[in-house]
Amino acid sequence: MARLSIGRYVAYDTFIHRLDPRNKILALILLMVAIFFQFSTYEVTFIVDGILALFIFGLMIVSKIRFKDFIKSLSALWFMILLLLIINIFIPGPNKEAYGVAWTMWNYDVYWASIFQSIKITIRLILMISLTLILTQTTKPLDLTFAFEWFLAPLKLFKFPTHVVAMTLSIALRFIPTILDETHRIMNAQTSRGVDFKHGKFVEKMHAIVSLIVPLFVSAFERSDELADAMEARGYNPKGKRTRFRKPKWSFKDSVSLLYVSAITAGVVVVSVLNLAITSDLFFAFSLLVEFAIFIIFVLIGIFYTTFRRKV
Amino acid sequence: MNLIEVKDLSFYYENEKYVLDKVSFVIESGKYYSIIGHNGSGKSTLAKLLMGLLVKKEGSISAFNLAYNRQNIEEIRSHIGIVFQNPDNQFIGSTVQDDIAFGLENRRVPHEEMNDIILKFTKEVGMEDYLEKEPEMLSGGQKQRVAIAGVLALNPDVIIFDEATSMLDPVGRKDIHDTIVKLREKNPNLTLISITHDIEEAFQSDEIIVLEHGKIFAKGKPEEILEKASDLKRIGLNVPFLYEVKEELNKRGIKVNEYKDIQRMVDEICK
Repeated sequence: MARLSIGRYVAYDTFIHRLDPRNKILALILLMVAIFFQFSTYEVTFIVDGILALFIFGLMIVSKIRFKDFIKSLSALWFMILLLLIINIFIPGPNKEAYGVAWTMWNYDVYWASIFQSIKITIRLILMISLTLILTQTTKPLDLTFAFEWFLAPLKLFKFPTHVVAMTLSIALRFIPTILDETHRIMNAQTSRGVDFKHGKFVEKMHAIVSLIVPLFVSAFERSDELADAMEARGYNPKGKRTRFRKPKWSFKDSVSLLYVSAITAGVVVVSVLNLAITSDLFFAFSLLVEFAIFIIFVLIGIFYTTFRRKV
Repeated sequence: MNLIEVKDLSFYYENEKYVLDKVSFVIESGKYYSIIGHNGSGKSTLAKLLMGLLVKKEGSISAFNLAYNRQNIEEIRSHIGIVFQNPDNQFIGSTVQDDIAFGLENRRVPHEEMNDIILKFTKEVGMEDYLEKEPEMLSGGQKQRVAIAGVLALNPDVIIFDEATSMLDPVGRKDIHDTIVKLREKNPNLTLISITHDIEEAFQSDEIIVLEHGKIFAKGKPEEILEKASDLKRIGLNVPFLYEVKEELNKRGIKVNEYKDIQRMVDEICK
């Protein structure tokens, strides 16, 4: 049975795996902010993005994400990249002439800026996808819902049922593989009855999909009915108080790593605000070096944790 | 001691066709009951009524001297556990230990005690090596064992098995059956109500209730039920295979009394 490898938790015991889920979500948000900051020139953009890319790929190595999974998660992106390139080339924008003309196509000037812009967005998308990949592959869905619930806690003041939302989320996550199995089963059953999911015109395909969707929904509703019974039988009361089995602990390494990520984001913000032109080569060379050194240290810590700590 | 008393209990769904029609019985402490009957005979409806998941239409039902109503239902449910038919649809947590913890969380068991309780009851059903496993990595029988552990962890007086083995393969079925037998040996005070299709299994219990079209067709000890073997066959229910062998042998003039244990039966025939 084909399993979804994208966005699924992979059980390893690495430094990243052991971080508090709340920390990971905060770091994800911080790094995303850093990724999508705007800079004065493309040179600065590519240097900063490069440093961020180094850091994020470092994180991927530390959290033992398989290269195959990474490539798979990008597979939906190729179409986007093409679209971006076309849009950027044909839509006029300000300051397009700044980097000159790359080539002329049937009397139409293709500017370097358009190409740079597409590359920039592509890099940023890849980085963003990598970050989410790291988050989902190193964090159990249940821990993620716990973190969400924790972040939503202030809404409790307004009588918002954060617990119910978290429970709904965790059950949804729990049932994804079950429903996927069911989908495959129904598809096989319908195929054996002559429904063709793979070939045919669009309308025919839509008809085929209906023959999948209807039984799937019927069974999902039956499931939810039985699940509700099972939950009630075991004393679940959405309004009642409950204790907790899972309690993530914020540890020292969480504080340190969050501080580190904050520093990176702060650095990116500073670079953006300073509106640096490319002339300050030395500064960039220096910051690149510092970042690289910190990155190496981070990787070493990760390797240390993964290889030595487990045996202790 | 009567744990559960059911008197003239009737129930119907929206179409007002009686699914249960004036059903009366008592469940005594420490006994093993089986409820057998065809599909649509009202067995599962009965289980849901006992669990307070459905509300009776007529008659009375009480457990632990408490009537089933809004105030008492939480108290009643804390004494009764149920294992449902579909292994997937009662697996609530995302791993084995989370699933068992689900009930504990609801009962407000302190966080510190949970790990010990989970370990103890997974050991009881032989699932202690699977604590971190997700449901899709487990077989149906293993999931049902987790469900049993989840029920046991809540320390109930009565456990209802609502066709808990009917969706399992023979291995899983035997697995669950052995688990139930072991449970009975370990906790003699535990009351079991098994709703089942499996005739062989039903005849190993202390008392059998036969449901047919929402009415109680027969109830009593297995021996008493077997006296009505021809009636059972008339409504399309089987009797245990060994009993049938005994009957056929008797018809052919070979006197055999034993039918519960195959070895003893063979010995008796060979004498």
